[in-house]
Amino acid sequence: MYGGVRYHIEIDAPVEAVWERIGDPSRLHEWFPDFSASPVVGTTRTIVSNSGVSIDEELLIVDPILRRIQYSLNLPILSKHHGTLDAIGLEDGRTLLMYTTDTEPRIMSLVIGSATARGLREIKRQMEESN
Amino acid sequence: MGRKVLLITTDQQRYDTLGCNGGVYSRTPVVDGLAAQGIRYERAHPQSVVCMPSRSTMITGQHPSTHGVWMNGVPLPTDAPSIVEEVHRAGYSTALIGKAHFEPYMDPFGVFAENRLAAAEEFTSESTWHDGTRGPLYGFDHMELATHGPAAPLHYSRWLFLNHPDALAGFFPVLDGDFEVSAEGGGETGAVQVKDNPIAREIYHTDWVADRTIDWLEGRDQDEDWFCWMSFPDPHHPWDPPASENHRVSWRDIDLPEGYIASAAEREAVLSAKPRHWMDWYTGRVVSNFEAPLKWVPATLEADQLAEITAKNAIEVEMIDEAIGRVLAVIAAKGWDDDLDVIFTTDHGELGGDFGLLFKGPYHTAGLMRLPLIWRPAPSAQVEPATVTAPVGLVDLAPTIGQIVGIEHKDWMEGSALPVDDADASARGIERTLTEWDSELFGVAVHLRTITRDGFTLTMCLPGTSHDGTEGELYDLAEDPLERVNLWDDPSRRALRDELIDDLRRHQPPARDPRLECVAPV
Repeated sequence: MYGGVRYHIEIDAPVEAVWERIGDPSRLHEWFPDFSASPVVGTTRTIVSNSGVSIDEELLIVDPILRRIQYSLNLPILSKHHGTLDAIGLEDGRTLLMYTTDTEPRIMSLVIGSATARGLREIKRQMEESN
Repeated sequence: MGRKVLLITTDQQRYDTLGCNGGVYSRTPVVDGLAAQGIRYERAHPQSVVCMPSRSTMITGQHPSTHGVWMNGVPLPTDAPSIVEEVHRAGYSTALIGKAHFEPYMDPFGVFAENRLAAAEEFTSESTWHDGTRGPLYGFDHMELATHGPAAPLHYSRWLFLNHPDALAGFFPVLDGDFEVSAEGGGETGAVQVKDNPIAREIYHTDWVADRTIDWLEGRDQDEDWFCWMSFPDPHHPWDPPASENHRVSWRDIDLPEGYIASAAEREAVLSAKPRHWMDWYTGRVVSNFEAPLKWVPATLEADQLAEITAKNAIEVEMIDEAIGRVLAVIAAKGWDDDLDVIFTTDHGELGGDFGLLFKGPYHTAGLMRLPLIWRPAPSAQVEPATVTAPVGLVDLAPTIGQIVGIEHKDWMEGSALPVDDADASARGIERTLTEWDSELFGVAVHLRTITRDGFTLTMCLPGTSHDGTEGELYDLAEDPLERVNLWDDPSRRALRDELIDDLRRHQPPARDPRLECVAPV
């Protein structure tokens, strides 16, 4: 069964600055929890966990106009996965950052999504501390 | 030297499973004996009918709206207020042995403190308390944890893996290939979540919890003050007790539970008079309770299957009673009994065949709401045995423990110390309990608010994906103890309904803002 979860956070920083931090997919490990590297070759990003495990992801969308990154994890336990990160500028100069995780089986969306929620909090911390 | 406290909890146990509460399936002489010496509560309700919110209420003394754990999968913040922190601060040794479940189990990134202890071969970790103090996690200086089987990364699982690896495969596999709660059937009838477990009784989690509790108690000095939460994972499903114990209760020889309606037509008529999420789940149209097997349809439950589940449940209840007896014998041998308070309860109930349903969910009727609760005050306190009919809640446990230990009432506690009799309840204005349900996942949202007072239970269905805010339930608990007649739309009860809604709204705490995130599956 396919299903998903969505987390969002508001950041006291302009969307351009937030996108500069998140728009380069090879810098994912700088804000996503538990990863030490995230090199990109072509449309494949390899995420390396702190414990040394590597997982490949297919980058589906990196769109600086929409300010959207979408990717798909290649894991045997997932028959489908889409992770989508959207940065939306708010009228007051702040940013709404939204992370959607859709998977089959759907339960895994919560497992993966819990990490994205922590990633959002880390981006907020980094951006607001650098203000 | 203060009074010592043994808090005994089970998981998902019905009120009517104890002999002292009229139960007929299990022999529970130990807990019945505590009831005879102490106070037996006839209308104790949880503030949530699922594990994590309810257990969070026990430790914080707050309703789910306040502590913020609104659904399973929402972790209790490690800096939430905790009565155990106050007990620890008062100089007590503090332990939780068995099921904690303040945090989710499915935790591949090792985020949650409970899940990190066993692998690190540790029994607590340091955390920041609600007042900024640094101290042991939630106030427990010893946590030795278990759940319903070997799946979670807890001490029992690790012990079983290292010492009895052959036993691992004997348990019911709780998740299916899609990581959903499994709907697999077993036993002699193919009943959902039943399995004949070949495990030796001595290494099943019920006896393990008692053994580890005894070991911890043996390590205490004679004059030491201690608080021990002994928390059995059973009789929560899956129903897979050691097969060696099957002889205790034969499913072929028992009568079906009183709440089960044998006639499908009558059953469906009763369900149809309740808010729509009841019938929607019964028929498998909408699953709004992620604690039950997704692929199991209640309408398919057969009478023999219910009998086998009831028997397995009864076996688990008996084993718990015997385990408690072993622990109390050790305490008596140490000479501590005269100054020992024992509280026995559970986190929530089990539908157990009521209206043809099993497990739990957004169904605020007696199967899930009416809990066994017994307080045997220390004999040295000279409290008279009593039966309390006034409604009390698990939110009252923290103030009760605080009172026993001699801690003044804290502002963050929303309950009251349990009354010692109905006159005490009346004098202190203890007259209502509140219970909440909130679930939002995979496109389904159900929100309920319930009040019990004056012999009635009223549930409001707040707007969600199943309700528009106009539906509800109202039951007369004296005239209709099986809650089969929904009086919500009865014009003759309109004034009562309005009065109860008004009372509910006036006493319901506001929801925590911002809301805590659900970050893991059930």
